[in-house]
Amino acid sequence: MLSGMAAPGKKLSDDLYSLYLAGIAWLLLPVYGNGLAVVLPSDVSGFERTLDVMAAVVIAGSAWIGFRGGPFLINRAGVLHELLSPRRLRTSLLPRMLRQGVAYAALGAIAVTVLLAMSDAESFGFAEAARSSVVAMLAMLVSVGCAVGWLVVFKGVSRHRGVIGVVNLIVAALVAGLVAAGVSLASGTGLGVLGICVVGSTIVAMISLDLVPVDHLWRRASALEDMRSAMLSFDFQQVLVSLRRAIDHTEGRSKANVARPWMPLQLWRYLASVEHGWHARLGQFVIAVTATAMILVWTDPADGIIALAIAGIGFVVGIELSSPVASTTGQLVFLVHYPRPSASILRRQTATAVALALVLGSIAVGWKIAIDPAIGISVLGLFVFGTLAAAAQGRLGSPDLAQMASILGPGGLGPALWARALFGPMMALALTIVVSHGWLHPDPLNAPWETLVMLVVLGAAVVATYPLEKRS
Amino acid sequence: MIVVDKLRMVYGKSVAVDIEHLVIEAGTTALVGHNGAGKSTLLLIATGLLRPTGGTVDIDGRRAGSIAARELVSFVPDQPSLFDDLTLWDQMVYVARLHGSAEPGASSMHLIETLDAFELLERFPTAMSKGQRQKASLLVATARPLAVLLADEPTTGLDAEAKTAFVEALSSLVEQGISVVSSTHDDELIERSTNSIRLAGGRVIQADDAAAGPPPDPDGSSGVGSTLKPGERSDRWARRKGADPTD
Repeated sequence: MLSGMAAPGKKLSDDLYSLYLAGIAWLLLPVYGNGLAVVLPSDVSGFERTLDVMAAVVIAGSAWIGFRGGPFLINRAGVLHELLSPRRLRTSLLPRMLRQGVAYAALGAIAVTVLLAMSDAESFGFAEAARSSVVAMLAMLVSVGCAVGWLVVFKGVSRHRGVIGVVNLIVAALVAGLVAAGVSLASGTGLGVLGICVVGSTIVAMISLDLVPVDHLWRRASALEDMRSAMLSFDFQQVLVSLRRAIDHTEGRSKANVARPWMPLQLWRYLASVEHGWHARLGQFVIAVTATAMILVWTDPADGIIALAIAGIGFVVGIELSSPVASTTGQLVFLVHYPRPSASILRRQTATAVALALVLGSIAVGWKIAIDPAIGISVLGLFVFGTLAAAAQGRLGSPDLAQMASILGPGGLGPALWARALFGPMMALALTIVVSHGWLHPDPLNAPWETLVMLVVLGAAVVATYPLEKRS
Repeated sequence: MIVVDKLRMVYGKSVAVDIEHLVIEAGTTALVGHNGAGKSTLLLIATGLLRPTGGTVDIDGRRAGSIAARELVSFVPDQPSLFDDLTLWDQMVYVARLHGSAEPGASSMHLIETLDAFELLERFPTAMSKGQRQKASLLVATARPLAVLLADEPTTGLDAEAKTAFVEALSSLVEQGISVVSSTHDDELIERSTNSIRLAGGRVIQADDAAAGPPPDPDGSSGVGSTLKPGERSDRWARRKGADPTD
C-alpha cells in the first residue's frame, strides 16, 4: 500500500485538503444553512442572476489567489526535485494547474447543487440545473487560469507581466460587464463569452507557466511546511508567522508579522488536531456514522437538503479514503515514472471506500427500510455515489496529461486517460443533475435518473481502478 | 567551477549577500561563517531556489537556475525535503527518472554502502529519524547525474558516527568527479574540504586555496570578496570587528 497507509503521517496533499474542507462545508451547509433559503431567490432568473454575480466575483478574485501564491500547491520535495529537474517549468506545472482547474470546476458544480437545494427553486428543471452547473464550472476554470497569470504579475520578474495583467483584466472586465449589462451567463451569449474567457485565460496561463518564480514557490512551500510543523507543536504564533510568510515572504518574526489579535487561535487549534493518522480517520469514521444516524433519526431523507447532506458525508469519507493514492498522484509524471505497479493498490483503495460506504449506507437502509423501503435504497445509492465520486475525484491529477503529451505526443494519450481527466467535472455535473432532478424537482419528462446514477457509479469504479503507471 | 559575479541579495534593508567576485573551484569546498553570514543564501541562489537582487552565479558557464544548470546541480537543504509517500528507494528511482536515468547509478550504491543505509531503502521518510532523513536526503540528491552538489549544513543533527560516515560519503563524491560545496559549522567537514571560504555579513572575508577569484575591483570599496587573497581579511570586516586589518 502507499504511504498514507503504510506510513500514516501528517501529510495530505494540499489540494485534497481543500477538497476535504469543501466537503465538510458541503455537509454542514445544507444541515445548518436552511436560513439561506430565505435569502436566495427561488425563481430561475433570480437564481441565475445571483450565480452570475458570484461567477464575476470568483473571476475577479483570481487576482487575490495569484497574489497569495497562485493555484499551485506544491511541497518542498516537489519544488526541489521536480521543478529543478532539467525540463521546462510548463511541463512540470501544467498537470498541477489542470488538476486544480478540474477540481475547482467540480466543486463549482457541487456548490450550485447546494445553492439550488437551499434556494427552494420550485421552477428549476433539468436544463436550468445543467446550465447553472456549466456556468459555475467555466467560471472556476477561468479563475484558475487567471490566477496563474496574476502570480506572475505580482511575484514574477518577466517583462511580459504587463501584457499578462492586461489580458487578465480584460477577461475579468468582460465577464463583469456582461453581468452588469444584465446578460445572463447561462444564456447562449453568456456561455459563449465564458468559453472565450476560458480559452483566453488558459492561453495566458500556458504562457505564464514558464515564468512562474520558482523561488516564490520554494519559500511558500517552506513556510507552509513550517506552519504544519508548528501546528503539531501548538506553536500558534509560529503558525501565523509562517502563514504570513507564505503570503508575503516577510522574513523572520517582527512586529509586523506576528499574530494579529483578531485571528482566531481556536481555529488553528482545531486545524492542528486534524492530523491524518489512523486515529484521526477513526474519529472521522465515528463522526460520519453518528452524523448519518442523527440525520436519519431527526430528519426526513426525502428532503433534498438532507439527501445532499448524506451524499456529502459520503463525499468526505471518499476524500479521506482516497487521500493516500491521490497525494501520490499529485506528483509530477507519476504516470510515466512511478516505479511501482498501482493497479492492486487502487483496487484495494476502492474496495475500502466501497466497504465503508456500504457500512454507513446500511445504517441508512436499516433505519429507513421499515418506514419506506424506496427511500432507504435511494439513500444507499446516493451515499455510494458520493463516496465513489470523491474517490475518483481525488485522483484527477493522475493522468498528468501534459507530461504524457510532452513525451508521447497528443496521439499517445488513450481515450481512457482523457476520459479520466474529464471525469471529475462530468461527475459533478451528473451529481448536480441527479440531485436537483431526482430529489428536488421531479422531471416532467420522467427521465430514468436511477439509471444515470448507476452509470456514474460504474464509471467511477472503472476510473478508480484504472492502473496509473505507463503501459510498456 | 562556480563563478559568482557582483552578487547581491537584499531583504528589505538587510544585505544578506554582497560578493563582488568569487570563484569556487572543483573539489570539496566548505562555506563557513556565523549564522546570517550569507552561506545558505549563496547556496540557494546557486541552486536556483532564490532570485538574487543583482549579479550572477554561473555553474560551469551555465546560469544558475537555468535548465542547463539544473542538469548539473543538486541540492541538499538544511531540512530534508522528501516525498512522504514514497520509500527511499522509490524516491531515488523517481528522481533518477526525472533526470533521464532509468535507475540510480553505481555511485548511489557506493554511497548507500558508505552511509550504511541499506535498511532505509524500503522505509518511508515518516518512519525515519532526523539523522536518517539527512542520509536519505543525500541519497536522493545524488541518485541522478550531477556535477555539483550543494549542501546546506548537511551534518547538523547527526551523531558522531553518522557524521563521520556522512563526511566520508561527501568526500567519496569528489572521487567520482562531483564537486561538493557545503555550508557548515562542522570542524570535521571543514578539515576534509580542499577549499574553505569564510563569509561574514554577506561578504567573503577569507578564501583559502583555490577559492579566491581575480580581483576586478582593485580599490576594494565594494565586494570585499573580490579583493581577497588567501588568508586575508577585509578592511571593512576588520573595522567592524574593531581589529587592525593588518593583524
